[in-house]
Amino acid sequence: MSSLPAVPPARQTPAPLPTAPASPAPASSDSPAPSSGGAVTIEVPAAQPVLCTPQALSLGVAQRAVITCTSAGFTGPIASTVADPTIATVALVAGTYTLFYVFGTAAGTTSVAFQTASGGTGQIAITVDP
Amino acid sequence: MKPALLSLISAALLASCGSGGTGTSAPQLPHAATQAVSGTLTIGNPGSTTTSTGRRPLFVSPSTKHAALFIDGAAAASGSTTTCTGTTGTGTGCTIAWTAQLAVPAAHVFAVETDTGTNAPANTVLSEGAGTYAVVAGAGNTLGALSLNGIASGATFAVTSCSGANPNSLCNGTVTISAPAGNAIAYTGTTPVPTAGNSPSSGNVFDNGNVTLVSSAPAVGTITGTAQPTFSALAAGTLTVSGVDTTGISTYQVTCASGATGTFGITLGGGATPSGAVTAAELAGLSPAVSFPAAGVAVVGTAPSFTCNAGTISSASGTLPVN
Repeated sequence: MSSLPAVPPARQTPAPLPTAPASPAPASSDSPAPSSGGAVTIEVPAAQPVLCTPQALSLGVAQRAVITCTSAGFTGPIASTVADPTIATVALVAGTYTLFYVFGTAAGTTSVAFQTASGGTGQIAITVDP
Repeated sequence: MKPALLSLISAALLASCGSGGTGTSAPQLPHAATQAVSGTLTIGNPGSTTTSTGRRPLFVSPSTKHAALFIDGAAAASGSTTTCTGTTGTGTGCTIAWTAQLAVPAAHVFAVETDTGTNAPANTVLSEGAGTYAVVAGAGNTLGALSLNGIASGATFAVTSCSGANPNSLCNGTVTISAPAGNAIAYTGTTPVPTAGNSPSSGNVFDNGNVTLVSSAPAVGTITGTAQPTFSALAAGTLTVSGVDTTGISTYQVTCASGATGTFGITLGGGATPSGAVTAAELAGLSPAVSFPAAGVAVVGTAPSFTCNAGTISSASGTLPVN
């Protein structure tokens, strides 16, 4: 082995020849030539849920509260959607991706759904008192 | 490297391995013929945790929607998928079916890229990697796991504390390097040991190179720490993030110049050159075309800002919401 040339880099930096086939097929040139069956398997991690504090919020009409929402390992902006925007509205605090203002606009209950670009989701319940 | 020469050398290597490689005579070269071959390749941790080259990162973003395989730098992908979705546990996110006409037995380069597909930002590379594998005739090629390196595109800063007075005043903070779509690039191996800067393709953990942090006004204040051995280093006021641990969070420390008054921030550098495991031309040939994010690393959210008052530091970073 030591007298043989190493496999040279095919790209920028050589990777060591990582592995030979675990179950090598015959290496003769007249081996059968299958035409299908290859696969690259990729494990894609699930997006982490959006967790908010507090998980439920009560406030009065014309009042404002702050909630904090995060998704582990996610640093981008989190989108919010109010189920019933006549009850409350939500706005991201300027300069942050994790703080939200909640405004009470009319008495009632509603919820806010949060979602990351990776698909992580969360929800909080909001009660607006008269 | 010309493919023919690569194949010849590889064939010699394979022949030697097959015969045990202990003889004194020159190995016989098998005849390398182009045939249809196939097999399996798993994107994952290469397995060995004590290799001489250190740990390798494995980054697959939860935002992955599309992935493609290129063999030996071919302009056209040997396979691709648009059905990647996040899975829990050890479920499979997606599979690329591939078949290729390759000279065998020989070594071939398998390069894989993952991208956002229809997720935002659309058709943007999230990670890539390449490895050289010995391929033989037939469908029984079970190739060792290939690790992918995340593309560093964003940095999220936090200031955790400021204390002391001139000349011993300092602020501590954290920076999280993320890939496009905002997911932190972290090591996802089986042990919590930080990974050293190492990549099968580029020598870097971040596919597009190390990320550097320097003061925007060194006369006012500088970065003075904190180096985290094996994945960040400090020299001459520059903190270089060259690796990741399981959190993807690195720490830094800044201080004012003695007696200085003024403000300074942190300027990001590096992350400018993709490894080339999959080339821009190969990406452009996909349908729809895929591209790398803009070169460099940008601040995500609010950039850190520090104020020095006669050498005593404070931070204006962050937001205080007012009810």
